Amino acid sequence: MTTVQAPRAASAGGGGACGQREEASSALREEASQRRERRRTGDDRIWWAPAREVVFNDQWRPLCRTFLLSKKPKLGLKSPLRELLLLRFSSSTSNLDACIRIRLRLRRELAAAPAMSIFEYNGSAVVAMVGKNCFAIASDRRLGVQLQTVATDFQRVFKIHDKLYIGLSGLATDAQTLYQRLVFRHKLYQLREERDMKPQTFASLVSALLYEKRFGPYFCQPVIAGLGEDNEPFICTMDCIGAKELAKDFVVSGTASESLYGACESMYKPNMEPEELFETISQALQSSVDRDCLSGWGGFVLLV
Amino acid sequence: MAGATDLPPKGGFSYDNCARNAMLVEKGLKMPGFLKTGTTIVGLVFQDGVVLGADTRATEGPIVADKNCEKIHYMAPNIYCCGAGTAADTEAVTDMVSSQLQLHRYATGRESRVVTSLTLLKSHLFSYQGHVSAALVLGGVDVTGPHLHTVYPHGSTDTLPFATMGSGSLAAMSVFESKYKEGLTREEGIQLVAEAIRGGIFNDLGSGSNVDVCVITKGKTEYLRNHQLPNPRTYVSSKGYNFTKGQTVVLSTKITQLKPKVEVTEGDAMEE
Repeated sequence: MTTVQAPRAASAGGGGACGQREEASSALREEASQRRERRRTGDDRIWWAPAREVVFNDQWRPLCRTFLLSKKPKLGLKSPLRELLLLRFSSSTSNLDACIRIRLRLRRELAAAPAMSIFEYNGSAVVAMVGKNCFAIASDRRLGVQLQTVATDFQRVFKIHDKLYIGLSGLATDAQTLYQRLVFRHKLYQLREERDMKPQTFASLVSALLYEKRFGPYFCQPVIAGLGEDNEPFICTMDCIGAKELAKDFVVSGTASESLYGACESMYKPNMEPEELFETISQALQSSVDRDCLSGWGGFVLLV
Repeated sequence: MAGATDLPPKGGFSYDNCARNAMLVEKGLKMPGFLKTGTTIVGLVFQDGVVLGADTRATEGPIVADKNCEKIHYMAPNIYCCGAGTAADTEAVTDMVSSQLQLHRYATGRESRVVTSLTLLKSHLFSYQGHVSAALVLGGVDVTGPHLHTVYPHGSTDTLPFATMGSGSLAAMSVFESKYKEGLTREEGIQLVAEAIRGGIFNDLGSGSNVDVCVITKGKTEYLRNHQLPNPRTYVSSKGYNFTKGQTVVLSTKITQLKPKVEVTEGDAMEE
């Protein structure tokens, strides 16, 4: 979660962000005590109202609003809003905290749930396509916990530099950890070499990072798309332990990958102009996502 | 907490996530499947060299993940290696050994030998006790002549005049067993390898698409990528789908101008 916030926090200035956070956590404490009080007195009319004031960052608003519109918000531990608050705050304080909380949640749910793949825990769909001197990378915007939707503006496509993007499908927590490590490594590269990474180089870096964890993998399937030298488009995907799969046309990953394969296979044409590429990738994404319960809630398309 | 903030690692595997993942498995989550090559890979020795062959299908469970992947990996100018098993493992193992061979060539100034790469491969695979699941067919020509070996994931090796590996190995071996003879010519060798691979492509569901061939003779290596295309795509319409502009509903659009990179040149400073 921290990653998505990072640019905003940075622009607000380091000290400001810190102050905001403290303010927010004290607001949360206050809210919690108010809630205890209300629960004691049996007054549940405005339970969710204070949550709005906990907002400490612009990015909060759409998240919260989404849930306030849902039928009956409960602020018990199992409500999505409550969970979100916990995750948000913990991730902004320490990674370890977030891990513990996710772990607790996982434990609770897995005790009841039948076997499922860890890739299906959050749900995702990422696709990239090549056109004529351009490429597009698209993803859905849902963040779920199994069948329950937690957020509808989740970002899975991240920018590495102006002409290089990575989409990370799979377990959201690993996607964000991996993204942070990749940005770190890319910045080191920029400092050392005084230039941006070529997409091919970056793909090898991602592959190496993933293969390093061969026996304890990140549950992420990356999709890399970028413009290389002479603005030659490059796309590539990997499995979660870094087996590169280069393609000339399109690559897909995520829970909707099966339907994406079908959609892209029939809709894709070589040498599309940017406008047409956008329509094609959007239609492919939307039609595939509609056949997958675990992804959806709109899409995000990036065209370079 | 090693790993996350480390500078470029020194190499080797990291087991940071293992405890967490074990917890997930214990709690009933399935571990994900990895990209497998599914594969038919073969090799044979002919009168003046070695021919290697491979299909080009990569699978992920029942899904065909890549219809035209490369399974014949470069080891040295005179040595190539076909890989079957987990795609990441074959890729990583062959890359690693090929860089060790390159360094060895720099140090000794001599052409790499096939046995050197064989030993490097098997010692690595043996030390991981089969957990690095790479099944390989290694072939090359060095000062001691043409060589063909198979390497199993646990580190055992065979030296054979003709060899097959992967899920389509039985289909391919049946072709070799009935038609292989000593002293094949180059053309016969390529033909027999292609036929064996086609046997795998058509009779084994884990293999498919095209035939890649690599011919290594003394002082010359030919990589015949997509030597045969027995499964051309026939079902695509000539026009394809057409989407008129503006069919997709867009909530918002953001356009960012990409800035051209500023080149910093150090002119005079260098000359002084």
